Amino acid sequence: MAGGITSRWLRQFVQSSLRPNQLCALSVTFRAQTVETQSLCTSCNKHGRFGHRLVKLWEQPEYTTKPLPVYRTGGRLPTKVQHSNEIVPGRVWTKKLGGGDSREWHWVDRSRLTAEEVNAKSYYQEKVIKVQHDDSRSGMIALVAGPKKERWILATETMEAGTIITNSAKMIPDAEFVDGDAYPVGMIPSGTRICSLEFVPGKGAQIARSAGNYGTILRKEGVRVIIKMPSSREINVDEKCVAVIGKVAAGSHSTKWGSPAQKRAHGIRPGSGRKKMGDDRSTKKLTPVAPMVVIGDKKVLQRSDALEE
Amino acid sequence: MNSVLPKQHILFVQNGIQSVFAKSVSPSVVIPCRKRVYYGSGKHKGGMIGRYGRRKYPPNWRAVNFNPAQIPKAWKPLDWDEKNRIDYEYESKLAQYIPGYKPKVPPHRREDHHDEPMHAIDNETCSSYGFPQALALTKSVVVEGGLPAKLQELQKSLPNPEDKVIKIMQNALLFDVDPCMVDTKNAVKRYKFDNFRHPTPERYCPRILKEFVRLCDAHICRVSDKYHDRFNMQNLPCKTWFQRAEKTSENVDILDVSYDWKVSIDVKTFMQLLSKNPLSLFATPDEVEETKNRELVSIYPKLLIHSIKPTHNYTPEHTTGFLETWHKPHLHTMVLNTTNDHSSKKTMGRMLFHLFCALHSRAVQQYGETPQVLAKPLAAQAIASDGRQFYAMTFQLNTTDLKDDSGVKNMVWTSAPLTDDLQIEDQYTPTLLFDECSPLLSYYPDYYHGYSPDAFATFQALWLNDVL
Repeated sequence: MAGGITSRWLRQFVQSSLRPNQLCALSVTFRAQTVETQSLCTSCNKHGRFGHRLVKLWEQPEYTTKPLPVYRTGGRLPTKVQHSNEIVPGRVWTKKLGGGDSREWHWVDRSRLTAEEVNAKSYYQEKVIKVQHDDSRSGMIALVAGPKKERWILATETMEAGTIITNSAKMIPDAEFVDGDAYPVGMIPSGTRICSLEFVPGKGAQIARSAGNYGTILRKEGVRVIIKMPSSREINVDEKCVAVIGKVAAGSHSTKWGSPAQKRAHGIRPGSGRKKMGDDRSTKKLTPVAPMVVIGDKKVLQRSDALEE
Repeated sequence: MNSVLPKQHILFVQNGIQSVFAKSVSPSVVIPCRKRVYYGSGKHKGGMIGRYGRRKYPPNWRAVNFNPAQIPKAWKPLDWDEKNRIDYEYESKLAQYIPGYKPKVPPHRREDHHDEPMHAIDNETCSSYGFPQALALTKSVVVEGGLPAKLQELQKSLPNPEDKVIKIMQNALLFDVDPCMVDTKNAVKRYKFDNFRHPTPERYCPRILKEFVRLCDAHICRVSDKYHDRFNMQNLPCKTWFQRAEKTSENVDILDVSYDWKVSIDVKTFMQLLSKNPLSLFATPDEVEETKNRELVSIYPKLLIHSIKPTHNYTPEHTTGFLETWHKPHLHTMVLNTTNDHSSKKTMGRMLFHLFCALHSRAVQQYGETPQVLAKPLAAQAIASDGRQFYAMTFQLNTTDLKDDSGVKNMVWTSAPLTDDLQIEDQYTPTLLFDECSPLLSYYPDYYHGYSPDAFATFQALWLNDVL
């Protein structure tokens, strides 16, 4: 009884400590914990099972394109060992996690153009070296070589090895807004599909980043631009927010478990496997079988009409 | 609770831990056990709550941050920053009291600190930039048609002792025993198929290369007297620096980039063959003049210094590894051990950087630091191998004036054919010494498969160039 009260209290405590700008990531499973990730996943499984994987980004002195190792935490919170500085997994925060295949984490650069580059109206191009699947996201990622360095970015649908993409905050006459190019939203003509959009200039892309997602630019009102998000909700952002033209390349958006072993490889511990049919809370629900459809019989199909008669 | 107990029962208590003996003798008596902590506050203080008699959450739960967004920071060890921080004041104190102690100094206070940055190419990183970038950075042009005609003739004309080469290959790969791995005390239990350990490339590659050198030197001793004009040196360091500039298109606007750079190369080659007399040139003066019309390979959208790290701490110097009075100063051939390069593009880039570094430092010794078109160009050769794949390259340094893309360019000849898209595909085909050589190949009587004599033929042609 007491445990129930405390956990409810804790849940309130967690929700109150989040920032208003943060958004729910829908149906994302097993996102890796990094310093840069900011998500609203709590102990429930609704928003994905948070807290299973850990990337030690503090060990990296600077940005790397090398895939980094991912450590498993078993859904446990970090606790300190007494009389030492060591930190070990403590109490369970997310249930039913454990094991799974080893994974790699790629440091994906979320800001195609930084705020300084937008203000300085810089223009440069990058060449795609390869496009590949990433373990910790549903969409594809691309390795691109710019003038100074290489980096990982989110891949759009038409990206292939060898294509050249543009990052521009400078208005160029006869500019072709090709798939994969990044511009501030104010420069992009209305009606175009965009993805990986920033909410705040210079903060990095926050929405339309998972596989197959995109938004559309509806209209412009002075300095502000109104965009339709993937959830069909409208948003009003600054014109300096950077977005990428096109649609995020689709990898495997949702996992359908082929077998218990496959589910285990993904990191979910086996359940009891015992689910009876019944009306109880814990059982599978009994649903009535849908009525037979008789083709050519109008009376069954037009049921509402029959009732009126 | 200890004070409540009668004295007679204290005998059965061992250091406050509940003993089995005590339980069996007097089960009804309460015996002090290990102290249990009951968390709680207010009305729950000191009481038993829950099924197991203890609280699930510690009393400091207000202090614990359960926010999942901040969990990764919480995994960071508490002393991480403290361990990785350098205390410069403490270092200076150590230097006062410990004689001979070299204190760590912040980079901007070191003696070799300069305001202008230098882009440094290291021995480890020189293979990561690739062949096209190396070509563009050293202002050199690939001559089509493979290796120079003189070397191609030597490949065919020189006798190729195939029996000896195969024996060398078999010795290195089949019958070699690494003394580090020998179990003299027979401590480790070996299973039937675990008896043989495959020698690693780090072991067999230098072995094969040194044996090839020995075979070629034996041939020289038989044929001519020029063996003593040459000197073979291992792990010779070499260092240069130069200035390079680039023109870019009008559209490109990048923050914080200047198009005029200082670049330094600091490498250490596996083996260098030095000689009294310079190697004969591969291109005639007319062919050198023709390079003015040729264009450098474009690596757009990369800049020339793409992913080469700038440093402010450096000492600009040109060294060939020897004093200027050394009587065998000319570079003939260099041999590179490329077991760590996993693609041909990387290997070729490494070869070019090594060759350019060695010849540029010699050119500066002869003609001075002012960049110029050389009156007498310098030439050298390189062989790279990981024990199985063999690459050959020849290089002629025509100019040290790298500030401008126009004008005379340096020239490169390679054994591997080139493709159109240099940046993406790895399509430089090396010559293979063997396809497979292992004791597990029991199907083949000599335990090797796909031997090609071309690998040693190219090695021999380069090594015996200008001798016969």
